[in-house]
Amino acid sequence: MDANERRLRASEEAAAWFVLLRSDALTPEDRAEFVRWLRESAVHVAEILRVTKVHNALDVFEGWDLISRGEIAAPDNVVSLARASDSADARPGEIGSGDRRSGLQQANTNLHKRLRIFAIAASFVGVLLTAMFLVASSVGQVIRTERGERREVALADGSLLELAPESRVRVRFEPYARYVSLEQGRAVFRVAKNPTRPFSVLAQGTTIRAVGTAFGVERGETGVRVTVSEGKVAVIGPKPSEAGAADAGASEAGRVASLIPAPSRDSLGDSRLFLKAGEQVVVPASGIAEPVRAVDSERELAWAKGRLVFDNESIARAAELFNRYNQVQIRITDVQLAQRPVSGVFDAADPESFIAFIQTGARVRVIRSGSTEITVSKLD
Amino acid sequence: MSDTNSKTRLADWFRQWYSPLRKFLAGRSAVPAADIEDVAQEVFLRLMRYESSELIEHPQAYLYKVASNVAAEWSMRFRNSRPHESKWLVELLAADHPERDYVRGAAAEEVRRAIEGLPERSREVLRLQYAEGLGSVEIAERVGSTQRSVRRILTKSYAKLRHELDEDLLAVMTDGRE
Repeated sequence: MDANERRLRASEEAAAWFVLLRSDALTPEDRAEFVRWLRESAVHVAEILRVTKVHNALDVFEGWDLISRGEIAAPDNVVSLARASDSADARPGEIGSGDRRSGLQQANTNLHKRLRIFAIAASFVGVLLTAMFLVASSVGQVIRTERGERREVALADGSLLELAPESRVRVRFEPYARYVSLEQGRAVFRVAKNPTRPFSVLAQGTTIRAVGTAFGVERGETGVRVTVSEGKVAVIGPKPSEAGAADAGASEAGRVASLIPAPSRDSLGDSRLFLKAGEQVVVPASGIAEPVRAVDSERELAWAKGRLVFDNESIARAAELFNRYNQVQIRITDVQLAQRPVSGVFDAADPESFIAFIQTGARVRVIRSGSTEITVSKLD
Repeated sequence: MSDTNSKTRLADWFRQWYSPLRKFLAGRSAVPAADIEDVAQEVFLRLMRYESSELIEHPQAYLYKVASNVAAEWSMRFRNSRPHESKWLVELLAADHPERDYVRGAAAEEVRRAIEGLPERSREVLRLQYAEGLGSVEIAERVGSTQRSVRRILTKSYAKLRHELDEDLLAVMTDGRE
């Protein structure tokens, strides 16, 4: 057998092992056999790594809809498929050695028994697991809101998400971690408690980690604003470089254990700060957080409930916020008026109340054109 | 039979397998194709340092953890010592996001072509596993076949795709998506 043939056989064996390892049909004997096989040759190691790469590529591949499909469900095909399997199936160890039949058949009987158990278990946790697979196997589920739209979404893990208008999040749940990227706008998170599955929000390089708590995250020009209304979160600022290989030197054995319960621990740096209920911090892109402020979290997060709270905000800025929540757009044409400060709590869905408020404090002309535009200008 | 037991087993299965797998060769620890032989050699040597009995408990976890450690060390060394040779990686590095998306799109197109080259049944089995997230039990049910047959088809598909797909391209596909 020349090198090329050996390579081909190794990759076929590697593929068979990869499938068996994933199938939940793995017996202790299989594991021992797999280890023996791995330690047989570096070529085996290389090939199983290559098959893993193929799997990873298929896992992130998104064009399945474009793949042509034949008449798979036709009865003829089903029969021939089943027949083909009877003659062609093989376990990894079987390739090139036909002298282990009886043991394998035994193993297969056990396998079927165990698979039945697996199927029953799977039906119990089916919903959860399907959600996990669907989300974990893609780049994540995107939830977005348009102008004038607010959404409250229950996530697969039971957490609640309140999304302000013109906001976008990407949700990615993995078996041991939950990630939500805030890609635009702002959102309040009410996290379902699960200590073994930390919940992280990523925004502009900052990570906010919680176990079970409620907090709001807002992206803005000055940085990421985090406000906690319940419990406690860790805020991890952006790092100059993602030092993923920082821990590469130590021994593997120790870290096999430590890796498993907390897959996200490597992203924890020293630039971490804890925020508890009623506290707020702004993390600019520099990563150096401003001092933590004590705030009225209910007031600060009122936007998630469809209320707008202004505390010496300019009328221009206030109008801009109203415009996000509504189809009706307010335009302030007078510069002086636009700069005037405004304070108060408003129903975000009611821009008329804001207009009325402006009218009480200043003599202005209000022109409504159609149903979607209100222009506020100076009274000549 | 206890449902809790089965759940625990399922969870164990994830622990042993899923996280280390996701971590391995995803994004920053991705290693260019030319080096995978070297990485494998190093992984092989490290595996030899363990007792067999130790490895047998969680062989996948060890394999992928060791591999991702080696890969991380390698890619650090790699970054510092010489430029990327592969055209995929060169384009990727030079690219800001839209172009990166383009390169990724081209890579996805290659993967699509390779999948199209598989027999119809294989395409369906892969689609059920990756697009619908089904396990081999459900896949076997859907295609009206046995699990052994499904595993056989998967094995053949992986082996074929492994020889058809350029490795650097695979790295591009998974880059930054751990």
